[in-house]
Amino acid sequence: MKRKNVDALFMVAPILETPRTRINIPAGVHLFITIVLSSSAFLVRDVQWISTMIAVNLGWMAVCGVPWRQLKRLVRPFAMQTVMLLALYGFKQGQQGVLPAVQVSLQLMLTLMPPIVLSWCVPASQMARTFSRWMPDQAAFVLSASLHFFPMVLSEWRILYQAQQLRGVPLSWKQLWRPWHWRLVLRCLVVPAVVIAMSLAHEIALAARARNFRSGKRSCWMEEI
Amino acid sequence: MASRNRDGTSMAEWNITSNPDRAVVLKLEDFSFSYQAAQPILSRINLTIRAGECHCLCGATGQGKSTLALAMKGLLDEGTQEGCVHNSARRHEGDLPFAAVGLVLQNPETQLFARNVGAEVAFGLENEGIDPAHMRSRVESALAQVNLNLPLCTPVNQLSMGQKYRLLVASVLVLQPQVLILDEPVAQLDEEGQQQLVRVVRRLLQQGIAVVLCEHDPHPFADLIDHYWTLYQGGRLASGRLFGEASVAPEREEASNAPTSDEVVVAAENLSVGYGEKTLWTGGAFTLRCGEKMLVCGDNGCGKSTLMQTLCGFLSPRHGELRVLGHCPSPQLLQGSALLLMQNPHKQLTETSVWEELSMSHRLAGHSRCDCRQACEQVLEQCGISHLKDASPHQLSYGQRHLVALASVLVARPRVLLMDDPFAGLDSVCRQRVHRLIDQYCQQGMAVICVSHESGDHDMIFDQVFAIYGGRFEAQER
Repeated sequence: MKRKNVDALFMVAPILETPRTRINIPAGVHLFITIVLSSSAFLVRDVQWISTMIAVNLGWMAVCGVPWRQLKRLVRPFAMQTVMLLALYGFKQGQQGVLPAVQVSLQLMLTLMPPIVLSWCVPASQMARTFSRWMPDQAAFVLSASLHFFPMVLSEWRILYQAQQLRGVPLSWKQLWRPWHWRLVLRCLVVPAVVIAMSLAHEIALAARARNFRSGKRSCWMEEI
Repeated sequence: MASRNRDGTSMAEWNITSNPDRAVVLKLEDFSFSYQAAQPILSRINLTIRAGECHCLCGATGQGKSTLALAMKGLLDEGTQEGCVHNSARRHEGDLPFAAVGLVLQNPETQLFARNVGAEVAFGLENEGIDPAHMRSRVESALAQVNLNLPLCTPVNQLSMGQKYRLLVASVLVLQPQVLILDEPVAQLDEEGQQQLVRVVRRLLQQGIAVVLCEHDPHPFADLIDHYWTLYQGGRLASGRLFGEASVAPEREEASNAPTSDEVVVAAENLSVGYGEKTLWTGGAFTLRCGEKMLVCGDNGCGKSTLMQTLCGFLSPRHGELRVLGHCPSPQLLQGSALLLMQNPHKQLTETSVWEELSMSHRLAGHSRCDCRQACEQVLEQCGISHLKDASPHQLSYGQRHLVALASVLVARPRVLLMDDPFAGLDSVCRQRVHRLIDQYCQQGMAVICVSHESGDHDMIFDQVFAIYGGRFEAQER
């Protein structure tokens, strides 16, 4: 059995869980490949190149040991995103909008996939160590901590979503097509989601300071593979 | 050790009960703190902590225990402070102020920065710029202090909540603090986790480390505590502990008091729940009728919250049959009929005032707007929070927010109320109120399913009690 519809919005969260297999590529190289792959997704324009990029990304996922079942979790958000884009492009361009909509949707997915693989394969401390080559230690830590805690933020949002849905906020896709529901969704879901994210950020910052995190030179634990 | 003073309620005199032979490691003198001048959070606090002493800060939820803990670690930035906090503990020459004070905050999840155990403990050492070559021995030593004998590469997310908490304690101990402050350690832990933590604290005290517990229910640590302090409304700190703070066992209600009907609202047969590819427990079989109350107990991570999610329809049962209000559970079908009270109330409070929060719930549940005012006033009164109706839920204390969240679900008049660990982190007064409300609403026909990691006293008010143990869902003898 599987999680039901609610996970559609938060499908990325399980992908960011701790990996069971990892490839032994230096974090800097991994980061570089990620940037190249993500950037390329924006540059490609025709079907042939997009197909090539899909193959390259799938190959990269396989090389990095990201389980295929995780890929399946991307299917539904991709489908929903495509439907929304089709509606928008269709509204603007009619039938001619179908191809650009699918292309933009694929490009967005191709941009997202490499960072997901990166966060799957590279531990936060290793990421911080890599970032710290180009940026101050503290900024590097903040960046890696943001990646580390991102699944928690998604999880909190999922809980909020569930609570509001049970409470009666119109959150099913069918209900969301009606614009007069959007104000309620904004009030009961979007604004609290922002508040939750800010509150978590405050809590995490406090926890870091409680462990004597401050400005100044940091060192690095070298034993995380 | 200094003598205990459990019954006094006079203002604290910091230098009377302390053992003068031991070195003072932390001292607050006339310390006051407030965010707004008219509402002091802490008022003229005098407190001396000596090496090897165990102090317990009690007080109802929201009285400022966590704020005082932050003050002792020097982490209060905003607001107005008066008086001073002397931190005489220094680990070495030139040590930074408050670096020798260790603080473990309430929520373990937001304090875990690394993926594996070794990196987590080393995080503090990284912050202090310790040479990586010296880290391993200190990390291993800290883990040994908390009896966490795990490989350093063990993923943090595979640990139980009790292990995570001890990992956090090790992450603080690796910095060699002379004072260790634990903020609400009991609320997060099951009984096994609590006992392990008690053993760790005992050992630390023997090593001469001072321990401060901010805890409204410190009974697991009772043998270790030298001084009790109570924070009162207005931020006043007094020596001793009020008897009302102690956990009071609820009285068993006679089953006949609740007018149960024959209508089955929740039925499960041979139920197994889990998520992903994991089955957490099997063998669930129960029937809940209108007006009945059911409690499910179990340790952290055993699958209690997963049961709640399955009952709401957010997860499908892995095996077996589950019917809620006659249907296979689905969030769309259960909207307004089955509501969930979450463990952390802030996750379900979205409005800018308590009144708005309740009226929104009433409206979303599809009830008539005509009786909204009356319904909200009635529930506010029943929950004892009428005086808070204009307050912002986000500025209330934990206990008050919990009651607002409960009022918010009760005003929707659900037929089934699902409560996820509703007693965790609540003081005895709030717990009593929650018990009374559950009872009152069940007498009106609402069915309640409650999950909790504390079996303790709560089972007295429930009609059916189940436990999840060793992957099995089993009925408990009453």
